[in-house]
Amino acid sequence: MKNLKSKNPLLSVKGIAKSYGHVRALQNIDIDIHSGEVLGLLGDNGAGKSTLIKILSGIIRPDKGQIFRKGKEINILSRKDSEEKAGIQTIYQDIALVKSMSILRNIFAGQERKTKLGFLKLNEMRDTTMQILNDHVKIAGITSPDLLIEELSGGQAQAVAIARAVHFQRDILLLDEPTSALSVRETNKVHSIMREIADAGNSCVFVTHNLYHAFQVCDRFVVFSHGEVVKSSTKENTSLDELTDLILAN
Amino acid sequence: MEKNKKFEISSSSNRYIQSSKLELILRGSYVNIGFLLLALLLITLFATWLYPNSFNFYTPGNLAVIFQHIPVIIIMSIGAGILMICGEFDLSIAGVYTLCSFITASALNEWGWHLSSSVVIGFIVALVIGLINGLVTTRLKIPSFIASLGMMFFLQGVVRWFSENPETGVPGSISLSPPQWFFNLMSGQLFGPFYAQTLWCIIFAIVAFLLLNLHTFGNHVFATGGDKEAAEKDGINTSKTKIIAFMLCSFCAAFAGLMSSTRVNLISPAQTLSGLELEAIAACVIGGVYLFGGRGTILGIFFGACLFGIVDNLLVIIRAPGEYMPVFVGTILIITVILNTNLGFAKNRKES
Repeated sequence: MKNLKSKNPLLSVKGIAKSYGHVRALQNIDIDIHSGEVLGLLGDNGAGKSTLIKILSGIIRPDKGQIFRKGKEINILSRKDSEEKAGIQTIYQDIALVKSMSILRNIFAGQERKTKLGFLKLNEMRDTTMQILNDHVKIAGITSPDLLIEELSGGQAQAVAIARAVHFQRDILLLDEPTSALSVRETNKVHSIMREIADAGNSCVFVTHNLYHAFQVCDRFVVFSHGEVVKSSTKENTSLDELTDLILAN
Repeated sequence: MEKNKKFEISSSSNRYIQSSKLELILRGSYVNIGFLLLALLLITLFATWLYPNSFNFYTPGNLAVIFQHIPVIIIMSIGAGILMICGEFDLSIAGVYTLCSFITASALNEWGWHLSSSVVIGFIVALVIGLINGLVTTRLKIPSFIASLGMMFFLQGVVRWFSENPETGVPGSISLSPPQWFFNLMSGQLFGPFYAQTLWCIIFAIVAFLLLNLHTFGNHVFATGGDKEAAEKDGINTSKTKIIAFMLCSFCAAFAGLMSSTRVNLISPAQTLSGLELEAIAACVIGGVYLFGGRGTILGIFFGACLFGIVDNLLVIIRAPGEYMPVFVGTILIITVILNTNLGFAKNRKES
């Protein structure tokens, strides 16, 4: 077990609240994310997990509350802020790859390697792509970075999305239900990748409603229910049964 | 915990083989249309051999017409095609095509402007129209079909108003009458059947190819048209990409208009009603540009516009009645769309 109680958390969320009309999606959320851990955000559908993810990745703004990175307050107003100020790289539930484009073009979409005139450094990008695919996720059968995403299986596409996020890695990798479309075997691989990232000193936030997956890989759990944090505990201090009860309680 | 550094995500290995350069080239949607074009050219050769006296396709006069007329369609289609890959349409390009030449001609001959400023003002008007189309589409979330349809009617009105004779109130044509060097630049004869237009359309095609395939802008165009939401999550400014594409499209239309009006030296307000915008879109679709965006090649658009122009020309050569043209174009449009959807990317999708 790593030293989870490091003095300064990588990212702290304090008193975050968000309402949609009369619905309180989140109220008074406090969460710390430490380096070297895989943090599981658990909760049933509609518990507020996705709202928090959207706030952290800059898609929506909270009504109130503060976010601190290594003790310094930041504002996440856009996707760019999320990456650059908060150091968060997000893998979305729906993968966010353009199906009609090649692996190469997807991996560098929005962050192309380019010359001063804006032309793409295709050779450099091609080499990097193969390196990314080989180093982070060895995907069987993908031999060319020119394959289109629509030619890949669901698991392979997911692997490309993960490989991209791992390559452009920042302090925190945020995974929103990354394994919902994957087979058991593929799911295990994704878990191994998360473990590796945490062991390397960064951290992963794993959002899921699948408790068994979470229990396999996470070091610490935060359980959401009706927009509130009902439990925050390390793996040693809780059990699968307790977490199950908490999620199903309401 | 697993210690092996390399993960194998998919169990089915060897499902894909390394694709060679040739396979990648043959995978493009322009292959079908290229073969169709080749077949058409072979037929014309065969017909020339059979009827050397009556089938006048390969005569210098007709080739000159082809090499001067087709570039106009090609340049307009390239602009419209890039915009279509971006996932949007522009129905106002026939209006831009006419209005910008009108403004250039008026500035040059009536307002007494210098040639360079007359040409520049024409292009500025085109870019502003493209900007307006783009802003209405992206900022106000109006479908581009509707936004540019409105702009099409608006420009038809403006051109008519512009061309009205103040005394009689009847719209009339005006002539550009540029200096000789400008005529040579835009539509002078280079050698044989090759004219400046031919060179211009090749330059446009090469620049568009570089922009679309080797430039960051192209990557953003394909991403925006392919999946707008995913592109935005990747941090691409899709609105900016679309607005630039709208402006490029208008610029191409204005350039084609200027080229055409230099050659015929007559700008008629009726050009706004000639259906040029639909011809350009049809040429793109024939050339394999996907109607919902995200897919398409410059070579395909080039071939599509050539096929369009050659069929048009052939029907004139064989003295077919005018009403044959739309029938043929419609048929070709449907056939090529069927070919493209059943032999192109959809085939790849089934295999996976």
